[in-house]
Amino acid sequence: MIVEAIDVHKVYLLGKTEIYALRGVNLSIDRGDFVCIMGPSGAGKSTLLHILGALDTPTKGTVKFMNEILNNKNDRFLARLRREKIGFIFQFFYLIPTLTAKENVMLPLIPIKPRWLERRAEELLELVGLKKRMSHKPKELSAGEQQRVAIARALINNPEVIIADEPTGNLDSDNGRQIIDILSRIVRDENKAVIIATHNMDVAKRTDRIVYLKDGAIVKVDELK
Amino acid sequence: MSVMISIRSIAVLAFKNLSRKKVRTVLSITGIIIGVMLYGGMSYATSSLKTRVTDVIGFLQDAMLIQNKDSIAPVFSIVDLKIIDDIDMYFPDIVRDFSPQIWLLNSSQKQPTIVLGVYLSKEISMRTFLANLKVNGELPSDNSTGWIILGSAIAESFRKKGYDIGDNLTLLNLGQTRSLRIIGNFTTGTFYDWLVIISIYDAWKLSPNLEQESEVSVIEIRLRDPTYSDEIQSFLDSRYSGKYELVYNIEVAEMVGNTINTVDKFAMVIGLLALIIGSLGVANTMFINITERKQEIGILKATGWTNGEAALEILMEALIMGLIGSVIGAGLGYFATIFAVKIFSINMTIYFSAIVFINSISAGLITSTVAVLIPVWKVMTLVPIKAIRE
Ligand SMILES: Nc1ncnc2c1ncn2[C@@H]1O[C@H](COP(=O)(O)OP(=O)(O)OP(=O)(O)O)[C@@H](O)[C@H]1O
Ligand SMILES: [Mg+2]
Repeated sequence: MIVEAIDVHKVYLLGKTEIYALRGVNLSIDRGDFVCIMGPSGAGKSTLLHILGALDTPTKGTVKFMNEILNNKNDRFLARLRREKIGFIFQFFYLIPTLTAKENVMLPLIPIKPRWLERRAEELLELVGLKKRMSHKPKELSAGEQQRVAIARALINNPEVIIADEPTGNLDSDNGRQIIDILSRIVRDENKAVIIATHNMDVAKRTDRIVYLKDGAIVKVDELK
Repeated sequence: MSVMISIRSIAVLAFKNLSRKKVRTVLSITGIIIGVMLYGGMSYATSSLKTRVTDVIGFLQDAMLIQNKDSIAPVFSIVDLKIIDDIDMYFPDIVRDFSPQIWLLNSSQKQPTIVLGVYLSKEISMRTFLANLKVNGELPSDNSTGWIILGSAIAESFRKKGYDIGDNLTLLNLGQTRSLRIIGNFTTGTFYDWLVIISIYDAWKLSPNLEQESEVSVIEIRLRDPTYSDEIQSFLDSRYSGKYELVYNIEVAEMVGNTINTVDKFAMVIGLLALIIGSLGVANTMFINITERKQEIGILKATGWTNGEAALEILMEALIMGLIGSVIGAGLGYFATIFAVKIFSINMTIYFSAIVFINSISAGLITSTVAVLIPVWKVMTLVPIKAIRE
C-alpha cells in the first residue's frame, strides 16, 4: 500500500463556523492504481488530495504513507517525504516565467541538486514530448505544453505517487486527453500510483477507479478495470 | 539520510529570480549603493581625519612649551636660552628634546605670514613631517641661512603672487628685512601648512626685540617622563621668579581628540541612517517579490522544498542585491570622498583603507539582511496549501 486514509476528517474553522470538508474518508491507493476523485465543487476533493500528499494534516483520523503514520510528523519530515516520494500537479501550472522548461523541471530538487538532475529533466521532457522545447520559456509554450512541463516537474524525484488536482481544468479536450495519456502511461509502464481530481467525466472514464465524493464523504466507488 | 544543500544552485536561482524584475532590482541596488557610499564616504573622511589627528596628537602629546607667563601667544613671548642649560643640569636625562623656536609675523608681500625660525635638525614637528617635506636639493644644515620653506597652504597663495621654488622672498618684521630663497615646501594636513619655516639665525636678524643668539620666543621640550612637568614648573617658578610657564600641549591634543570623536560619531550616525534608508528599498522589493510569488513559493514547498530552503533563497536574493550594492558603494564612497575634498578645497589627504572598504561592505550586507528578515520569516512560515488555494 502506498497511501492509506483511515476515517479521515477535516474541519476548517471560518470564524466561529465549522466547515466539514471531509467526514470520515477511507481510501487505499496501491502501486499501479489510477484513481480519480470526482464530485461537485466543494465536495472536498482538493482537501483529500492535499492530505494524501502530506501537504495537509487531518483533523481526525490517520494517514499512512508506505505504512508510516503521518500524524504528528513535523514540517521538515513532511517536506522530505514530498521531496522523495510524492509528485504534485495543479490546475494552474505555476511555472517560473524566466526559467526554461528544463530549469522548471529541475526546480524541486535544486536545493540538493543531485548529479543526475539535468539528465533526468531531459529524459522527462522527452517523455512528455517536449524534447525540442527544453530551452523554451513558459510563455513560448502553449497551455497544454506548460502542463506537460509541470508533469515532468512532478516526476523529477521519481515519486511513488503522483497527485494531480484538476490537471486538465485549464485545458481544451485535446490537450486534456494528452495529459491523461501521459499519466496513464506512467501508471502502466512505471507501476506508479496516480490520483487525480476532476469534474470531467471523459477524464474520469480513462482511470481505473472513480471515487465519488459528496459533502466530504465517499458516496460511491466505480471500479472500471 | 542527510543531504547537503547546494548553496550555489540556490544562489543561481536567486539571481535568476532577481532578474525577473530588473527595474525593481536595480532601484534597490541603487539604494544600497547610495547608502553604502555615504556610510563609506563618512568612514573614509573620518578615518583619514583621525589618522592625521593621531599624527598631530602624537607629536603634541608629550611636547610642552616654555614661554612667558604674560604673553598670550608664542609671537609675543621671550625666553632666555639659558633655561636649557639650567633644566639640563637640574633634571638630567628627564628632557628628551629642546627645540628653541622664534615665532614672528611677516608683513611683506601683502601676505601676513607666521614665520617659524628653527634649528631644523631640532624641530621635532618638522621631523615628524619629514616624509612630506619636499625640498629642492639638500635639506639645509642647522647653521646655514638664507633659505625658506613654505607650508603648502601658504605656498599656494605665494604661487599666485608669482613666487615659486627658486625665487627670493623678502620678509619684513619690526622694520627688519631679509631676502630668503624658497627651497621647498611641505604638506602636513595641519595648521602647520600655514607657516613658513626659516633658519633660526635669519629669524634673529628679523627680531630686533630678541637678544641675538641668546633669546628665543619659546622652547619646546619633550619629557622622557611627563610626570616631571610639575617639578619643572616649580623649578622655573623659583629660579625665574614666576616669569615662565610650561604650557601643556596635551590639553590641546585632548580637546582636538574629543572633537574628532564627536565628529566621528556624528558621521557614523549620518552614514548609518543613509544605509538604513538605502536598505528600505531592499525590504520593499523583497516584500513585493514574495507577495507576487506566493503561489510559486507554495509550489516549491509542495514539491519538497523545506521552509529553511525557501527562506534561504529569499535571503540570498537580498544578499545578492546587498553585495552588488555594497561593493559598488564602497568603491564609490572612496572616490566620492576624494572628489568632495577636492571640490570644497579641504586640505586633507584621503587614505584608502581596506578596513573601511570591508567595513562598508559588511555594513551593507548586514543592513540588507536585517531589511529582509521579515520577508524571510514570512516565507519561512508560509503554508503551501494556503498559498496554492489563493
Ligand atoms: N482554508 C479553508 N478554510 C475554510 N474552508 C475551506 C478551506 N479550504 C477549503 N475549505 C472548504 O472546504 C470544502 C472543501 O473544499 P475543497 O477545495 O476540498 O473542495 P473541492 O472539491 O476541491 O472543490 P473544487 O471542485 O471547487 O476545487 C469547501 O467547502 C471549502 O470552502
Ligand atoms: Mg479543488
